[in-house]
Amino acid sequence: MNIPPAVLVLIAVALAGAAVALAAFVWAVRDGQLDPTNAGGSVIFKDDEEPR
Amino acid sequence: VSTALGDQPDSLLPLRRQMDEQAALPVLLYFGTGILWLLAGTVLGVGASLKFNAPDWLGSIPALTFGRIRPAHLNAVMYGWGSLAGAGCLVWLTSRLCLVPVQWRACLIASVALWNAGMVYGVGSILLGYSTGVEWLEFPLAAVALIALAFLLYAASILRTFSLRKVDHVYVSLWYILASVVWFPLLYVVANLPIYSGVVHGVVNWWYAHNALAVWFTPVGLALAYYFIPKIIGRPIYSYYLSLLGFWTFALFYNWNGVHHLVGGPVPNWLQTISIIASVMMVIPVLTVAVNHHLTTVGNFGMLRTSLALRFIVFGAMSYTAVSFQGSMESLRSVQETLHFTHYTIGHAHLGVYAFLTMMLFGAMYYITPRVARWDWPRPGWISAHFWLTAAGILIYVGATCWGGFLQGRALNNAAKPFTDVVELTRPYLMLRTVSGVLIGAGHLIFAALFAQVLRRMGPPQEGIGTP
Repeated sequence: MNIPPAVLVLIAVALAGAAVALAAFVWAVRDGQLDPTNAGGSVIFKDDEEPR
Repeated sequence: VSTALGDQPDSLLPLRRQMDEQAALPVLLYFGTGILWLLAGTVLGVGASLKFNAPDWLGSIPALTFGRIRPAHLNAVMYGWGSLAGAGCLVWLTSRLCLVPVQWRACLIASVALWNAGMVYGVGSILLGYSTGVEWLEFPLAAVALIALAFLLYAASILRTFSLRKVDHVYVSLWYILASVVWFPLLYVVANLPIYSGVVHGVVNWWYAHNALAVWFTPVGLALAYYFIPKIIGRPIYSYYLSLLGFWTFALFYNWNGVHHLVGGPVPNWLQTISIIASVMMVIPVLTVAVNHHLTTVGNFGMLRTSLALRFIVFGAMSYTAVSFQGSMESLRSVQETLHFTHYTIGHAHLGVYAFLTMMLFGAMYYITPRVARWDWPRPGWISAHFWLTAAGILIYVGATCWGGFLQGRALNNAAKPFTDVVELTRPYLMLRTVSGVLIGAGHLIFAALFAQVLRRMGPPQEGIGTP
């Protein structure tokens, strides 16, 4: 099969982009970022001020 | 200020003030120059629309012909307004979510300068006839290089601030921000490489154009929505856990969507089918966002009367749901048979980047600007006028182009109908579009005037928001 070189560049880039996402996901699971709890929703109030 | 709760609520006041002071200069530069591109882009857009009503108007000046001002409009509003205003918002938001003052401010200031230089060079090149002719990628390489460098400097500052974070939990908005600063520069550079030709170039073109929305403009809008809706209402996201599922399914499905722009074209069928499937799969992340934002807001709709920032933000969030479901439906082959190559697509695009992204940016800027400028908006009545002009304008715009486009598509599929009749049929809808563009433009002038008034500290002397 005749694959244009530009397509090989795209495949390499796509795999690199996906690898970054996979690494971030594995880190997030191990770090407890994705634990099934809603507690994380409250971090936006850590800098709390009067709502307006 | 002492409150019934003791000094606890104000214990972070010095940090908050330090964060806003550090963010002020870069954020106001991003906002101010972004607003200038909004005004330029609006003039170009209304001009392009008017040419449908008066085809000979300004037709003898090459720089002002339709083929040049339409791409100049797109690039001015997307890479100028949406990107600069969005970057400014995310710089401020990253600092707030990490509880760390903005880092590497020199990078951000250099970023604003390079970004604007690239924009002037790029839009100027299009108007002078040096466009590449590839939609969304019209800028010549020198302009691309300036903007890519500007984005990398912005990304470096965001990542540095994130690396020093004082908060253990990475909030969902921050996930969207991190994804955009890692993926968008990669996408932008790779899509602009001068190595593609033929069908591959077409695929790369729409892989890029749809992913510019997927990994940059939509994450900007959603990061802001996930912060400001619960923040202004004062209660956390309804199901925070669901929002994280939404982010990861968004990251998984959205980047496959681009080829749905080429359905029916000379592209392998399997590639088109994968793209249609991924477009329909987007229903999952979109539902998580829609359910969460609605159930967080429900019971508090009365706040839309008091918080003008929230009014823009909720309008934007509702538009996100609408444009996303519309987009999933539009990707289907049976639907494209009627709607492809009609004004419907233009309506869909504006529902996305205006009713969703731009309204979200307005809301966020109304919230952020007084805090970093230490000066409140002098004329709240003008903000309300800005909202109603732009909200009515964009609803008319989307209604006219979508309905007119649907009728146009039906007529085009009727082989017995002469083509000129189809053109005649669209005329009233295109006139409505120009009218809506003028309403939207009037809203933008009010917004720009308000922003200038805050910078010039007009109105009664005050201490600014968040100060005791």
